[in-house]
Amino acid sequence: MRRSDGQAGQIGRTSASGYRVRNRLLLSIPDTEFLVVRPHLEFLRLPHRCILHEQNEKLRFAYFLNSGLISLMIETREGKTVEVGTVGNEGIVGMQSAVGLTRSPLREVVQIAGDGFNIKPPLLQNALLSTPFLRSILNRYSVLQGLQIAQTAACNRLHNVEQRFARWLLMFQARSDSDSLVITHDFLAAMLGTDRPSISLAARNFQRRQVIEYKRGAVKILSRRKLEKLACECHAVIQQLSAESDLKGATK
Amino acid sequence: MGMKSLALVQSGKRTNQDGRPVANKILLAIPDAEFHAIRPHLEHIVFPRHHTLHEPNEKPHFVYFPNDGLLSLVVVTENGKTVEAGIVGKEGIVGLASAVGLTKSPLREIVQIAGEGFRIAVVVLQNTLRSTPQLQMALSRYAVLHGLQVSQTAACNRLHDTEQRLARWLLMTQDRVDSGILGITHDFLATMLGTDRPSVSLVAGRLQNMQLIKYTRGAVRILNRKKLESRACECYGVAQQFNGDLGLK
Repeated sequence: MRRSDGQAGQIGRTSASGYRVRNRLLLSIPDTEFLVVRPHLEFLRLPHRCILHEQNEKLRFAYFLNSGLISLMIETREGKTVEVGTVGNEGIVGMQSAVGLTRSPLREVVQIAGDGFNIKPPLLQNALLSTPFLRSILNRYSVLQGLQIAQTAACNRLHNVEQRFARWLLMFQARSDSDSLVITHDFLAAMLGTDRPSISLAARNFQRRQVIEYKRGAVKILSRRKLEKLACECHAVIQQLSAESDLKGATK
Repeated sequence: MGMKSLALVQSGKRTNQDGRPVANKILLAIPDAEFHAIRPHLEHIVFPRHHTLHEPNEKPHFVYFPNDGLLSLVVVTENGKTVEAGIVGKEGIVGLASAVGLTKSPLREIVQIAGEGFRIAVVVLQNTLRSTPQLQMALSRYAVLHGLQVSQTAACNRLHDTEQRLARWLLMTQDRVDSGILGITHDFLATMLGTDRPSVSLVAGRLQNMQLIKYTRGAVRILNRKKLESRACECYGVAQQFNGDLGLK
């Protein structure tokens, strides 16, 4: 399961139909392994709010993102929701199908628009039989993601709305490359597993302290440094784990 | 990686080199040839109650395959607060992070319910994995299933109350230890559930009044599993649907 020097040929890697590959897992595998997967990669655009998988439905695809961000969400029977993890171009969405599970209780929803590739589970499973390096980096990624989710599990229990709000904004900004984030209070409440008034209160506090500015449904981060102070330690822990999942030699 | 379900060798049919029987579901699920590759490296150990196997961010030396008992994966915050993110029994493995080559993990691994099992040095397991593809797949599959358990816990910790979470915890634990008597104190339950002892005592007292559980000398006995299920949040049902995939009843 050890990392080897498998980064050859990553420049200009494309899918069979000519789309450039930016997913870091796909960029880090050796040429021979990439050629096994390549014919099965189907390019797709990921529009904002698009649902890739609905809770408990059959898993139809696994996804390798080139850009954008996917939220992994859980919704309870009475309709409460909370985000438990996120995946960008460092990872894979739908790893459950790669190990033969047919269903998953997670909703996968596009949080930041982007694009990437999908692959059908049986084709991925088949490819994995002859791609040991890909197999081991997928394992490594699932474990790292599990650790991030574990941190979220603790955070959801132990930290208050302001701390979690700050953590979420920092994560979101890092992923979106923009200081102005179009997100409503309702939406934030759904992500953080709380209600709209709690978010509004936290947002007002942040605004008063000139940490953020709220205008026409968009949050603008005025001071990232202040926001980092307001966030709980979970931000740093999760960020560190994300950095670990960035494989040596994989390009941005 | 397409193992649909676990085809298990009967418990007790396999032993390590010292003759200790194997009950761990992953070690029972791999083919004979692969078991023989790993067998010489399996060192039998007992897991005494509350014993810590790994402290956050220390370098892990061993990976553990429990035969019984229950191990807890705990997140510890800077100010010392703790909450459980996942549990592992005979269906799983503890130390996945080191098995996939990470040099540290932010989780504390602690024995919640005493038991026994095997350990294997990290380097030895990594070497063995190169020639044991089925074991590698089984670990990968377990990592994903465990990730789902942790995800559900993340949501549950946010959305459900202490009574629901306590009921869920007791049920999930019973599924793993195959016993209606769980050796666990209120202090530890509070730690696990990320709350304080009085809250746990209050809730446990209520479940006891309803005759769903009985609390005696540091152990909880489950009296009425069916009713306990109705007090648990839906998260128990979500976790339970994967019991078959994990080789649990």
